[in-house]
Amino acid sequence: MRGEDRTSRLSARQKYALAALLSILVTGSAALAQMSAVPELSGANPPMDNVAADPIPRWVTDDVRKMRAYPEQPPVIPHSIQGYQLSVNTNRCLSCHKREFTQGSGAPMISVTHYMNRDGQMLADVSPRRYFCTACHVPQADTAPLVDNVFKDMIELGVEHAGDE
Amino acid sequence: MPERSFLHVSSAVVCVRPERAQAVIAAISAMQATEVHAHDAARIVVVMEGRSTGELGDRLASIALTPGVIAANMVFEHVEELEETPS
Amino acid sequence: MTAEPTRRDVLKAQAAAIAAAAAGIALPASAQPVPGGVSALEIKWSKAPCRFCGTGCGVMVGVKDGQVVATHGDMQAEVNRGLNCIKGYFLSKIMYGEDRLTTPLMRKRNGVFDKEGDFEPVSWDEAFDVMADKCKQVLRDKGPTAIGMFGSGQWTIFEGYAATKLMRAGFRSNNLDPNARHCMASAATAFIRAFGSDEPMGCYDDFEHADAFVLWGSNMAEMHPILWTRVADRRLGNPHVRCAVLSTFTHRSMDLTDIPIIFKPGTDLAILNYIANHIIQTGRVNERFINDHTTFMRGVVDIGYGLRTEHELEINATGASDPGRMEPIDFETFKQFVSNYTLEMAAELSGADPGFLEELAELYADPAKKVMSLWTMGFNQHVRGVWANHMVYNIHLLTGKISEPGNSPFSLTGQPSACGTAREVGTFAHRLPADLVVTNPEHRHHAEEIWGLPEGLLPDQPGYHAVQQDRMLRDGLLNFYWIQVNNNLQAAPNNSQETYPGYRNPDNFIVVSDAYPTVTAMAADVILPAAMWVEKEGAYGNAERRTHVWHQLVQAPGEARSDLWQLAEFSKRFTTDEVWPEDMLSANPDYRGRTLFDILFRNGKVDRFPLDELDPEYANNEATEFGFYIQKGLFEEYAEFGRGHGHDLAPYDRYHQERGLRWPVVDGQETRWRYREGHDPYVKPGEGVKFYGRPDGRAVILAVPYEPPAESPDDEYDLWLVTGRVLEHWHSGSMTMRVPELYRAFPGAVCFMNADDARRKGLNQGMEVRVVSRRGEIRSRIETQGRNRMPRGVVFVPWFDASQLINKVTLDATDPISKQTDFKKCAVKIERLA
Repeated sequence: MRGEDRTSRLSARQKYALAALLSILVTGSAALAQMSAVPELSGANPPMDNVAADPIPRWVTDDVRKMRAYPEQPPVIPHSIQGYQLSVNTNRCLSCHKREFTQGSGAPMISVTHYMNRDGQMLADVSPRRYFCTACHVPQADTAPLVDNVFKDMIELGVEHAGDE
Repeated sequence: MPERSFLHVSSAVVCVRPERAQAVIAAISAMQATEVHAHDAARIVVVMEGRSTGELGDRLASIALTPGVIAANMVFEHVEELEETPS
Repeated sequence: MTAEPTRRDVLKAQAAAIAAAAAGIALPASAQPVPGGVSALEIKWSKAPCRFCGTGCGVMVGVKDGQVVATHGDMQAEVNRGLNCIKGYFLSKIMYGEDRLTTPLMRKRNGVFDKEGDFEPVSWDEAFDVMADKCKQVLRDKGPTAIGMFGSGQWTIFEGYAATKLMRAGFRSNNLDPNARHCMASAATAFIRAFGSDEPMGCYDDFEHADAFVLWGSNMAEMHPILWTRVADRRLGNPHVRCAVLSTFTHRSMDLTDIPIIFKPGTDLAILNYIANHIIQTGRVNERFINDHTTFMRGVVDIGYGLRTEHELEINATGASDPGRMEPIDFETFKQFVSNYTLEMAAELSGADPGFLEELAELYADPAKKVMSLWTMGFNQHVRGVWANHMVYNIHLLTGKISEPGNSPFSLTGQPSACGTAREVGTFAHRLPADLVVTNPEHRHHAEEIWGLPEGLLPDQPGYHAVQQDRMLRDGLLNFYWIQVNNNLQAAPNNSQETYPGYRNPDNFIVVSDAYPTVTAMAADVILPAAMWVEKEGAYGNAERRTHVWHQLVQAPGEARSDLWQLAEFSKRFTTDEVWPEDMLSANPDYRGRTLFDILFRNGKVDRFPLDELDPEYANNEATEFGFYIQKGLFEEYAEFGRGHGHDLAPYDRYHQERGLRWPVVDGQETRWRYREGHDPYVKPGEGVKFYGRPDGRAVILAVPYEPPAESPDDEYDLWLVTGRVLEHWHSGSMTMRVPELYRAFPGAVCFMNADDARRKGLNQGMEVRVVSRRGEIRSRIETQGRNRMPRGVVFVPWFDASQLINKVTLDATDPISKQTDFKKCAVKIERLA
């Protein structure tokens, strides 16, 4: 789907709206239903052609915490981590997010699970198995999704909310 | 393209002097787009809606200045883009 | 009323609930987020293995209203004990990319199939009708060797097993290969050659016992992050533990290393032989161990590079005709052979620091240190990959540091069932289940007995391996080709010259089964929509021999069906009279006129478990459709191959209760260390150690030299190109690129380059460039910062990005023994985009 004409593509939601509108206009048209079922190519078309490489996007750095898609999701990082040192002796992430530093830094404290060892015992400090933060926490580029995702938030499923009717 | 507009929903816990609790609840309930969802003797759960973080921050500040309020802390904020509905 | 106020109410209720929870206040009933009460909030949790790498983490999958709504690391899974990496934590979203394939598609013009037509939705019947017609026509015109299938280590065990039966017993073709050929054929081949049995002797428990870890070309911090947490736990929690990392560039695993070694591509062979020499020269050979448990051999040399036979490198290679030949030698000859590999020679050739090389050699030589060696693609995707695997076994065998807790040469895997499906089931072009091979008449006979086939039915010639399949498609000798659960047009080397032309060759008919419109799918003639992961019952086998089973948890969208259903259903369209030779049928008239479905699946074994054995808590579309518990039937028939032969599997139902079990499972007990008395039930009391896979019970120590790569930089193509992966994207990005958070974490491939090299060429960070080889080119962006830091003369480009197909640039050279591609070394130039 990435191609030179990315900016001219309709966003997924706009496509839905358009499809809904069209299907109202030409209800029963099998041809339309068929066309919309054929996906677009990911990448170049024809596939072996060269396409321009998109510029490397900037990172989101607004420091605004992003809601998790579900409670277990590791929060994404709303700032750049370019140049952060993560080594045996230094961990730049923990220098703000560790419990004893959060009051001064104002950063969210890493969750209590990070103090548990492999056997589920709580330790006095962050467990070494959790030391490399970037295995689970990633910054986000300031760019639209390549393909929209129709994952549904659990809170929208299977429950009737007051005011629905 | 029309200007993008956002819905901010946030919640806060407000700590009050117990003897002022009912008055503070009344004051908060009178604010626009602000609801009291629960309370006990000294704490009130408040949900606010608005168009920007700044707007919600200002409202929380005014809650904090209400007589009887000891502290007002934001707990949660969710932001999403409002969509044009086709209808 | 529009939907918006509802969404708003939900958000507000959620906000209130979180604040109330933070304050410890109970929300009044009227303000509860869910009027339906607590039961409406319940999520059904079930276990499954992760869909991504070969680590095989256990995950808990939460389902609500027929959708996966959350996933988290399984606390009870021994592999990961509650942890997941970023990919694992986002499994919830991999099935919900908006462009899921939901209906079969076929290229058509004027209402009929046309190779030059456009894709149109068709029914399963129409797709299978056309496929069956094409398949039968090719069989009639060209015979079984013109039929082929390409699968993967992402197939479930049942799917790989059904595919191997359909191809070998049904169509009588061995042209079945998995993309694991690109991934671990060198490891698998070396295991068989050295120990007579595929897959590691040790297991992940070694992480908690080792005193030193040596990563050979592996970047575990990104590629096996959860195993890396176990290395980090051990290293950071125990001050005496040491970690050595060898690579052709600096990457995240170097963050934990005590001994960082950057070497020139291909020279790891010299370093390995130097370590063997160092062990011998310093008198630290474990003589009792080598006398009792090993045998010395010498390999044939100058074996070529697996290129097309007319390539001058192949014509000039004196050992290319029989590259795998080994002949016995003695210890003295071996000692003499490796004595050329001095510290000076290894340092000179590799460009590595001699001090670090000696420290590394000492880790192995010191009898007091337990060493775990770890590798994946660095060794395996190597024109001498089999040799590299042998050489690391050499140093573990010389010191006796093997088959015991903490002493462990450990081959990691890239795909979730590279071991379970590709290797154990035997979906390689030369293999049958449980280490049997098609070239051995006894093995074929054994398979014919278990499968209930006429004697002599199974073909005896190895089929085309992955790279050869592409060449044969292009040359028009392979004409009906079915690709399942992989993205080979993106993954295959030199794909613009050697892969794509074969797919579009007018003589060929290409079918691709996938969940998403990959470049491979879109270059096919028919696309079949596939059910994925927990949309079907499944079983995977991870790198430590752990077999892990899961239930179907949700329904696939639209008409998407599992690969198992596709294979079994397709087999109904063929009768033995159409696909087996007449002399076979006249000698065995009972088999006449029966469908392949009857022969392969309704054979009295696969269909012996009725539907009432299904767990009523879970759906099972395939069983319901075929009328018997097909997954259990396939598994139990397959398990016959290994039980009693060192590959024992537990009864199928037990796997639904366990977080996986490591084979051999004997008397209900899994095996953690093979070949070691007290751990492995196949080693008898008093034997101590026995490499029982080989007839003499001895492991092979192999004398083989350093030989140069197939292509090296020169004046014009002045840089090494190394390809690989990133943490956030796996399996060609076909799933991970559709998860917005993973996409945004690494939205497109870049060309990692040394800053001085860039400056010398007038290139800046972020500038667009052409990456050009003798085969093809892509456009990319220069990255001189970022997570990988390149030495002078080397660039790295990951291959997950369909808009930057770096395999147009790579070389289709393979290890001549394992036929695995070398994706780690070729020569390129970087040009600024005009």
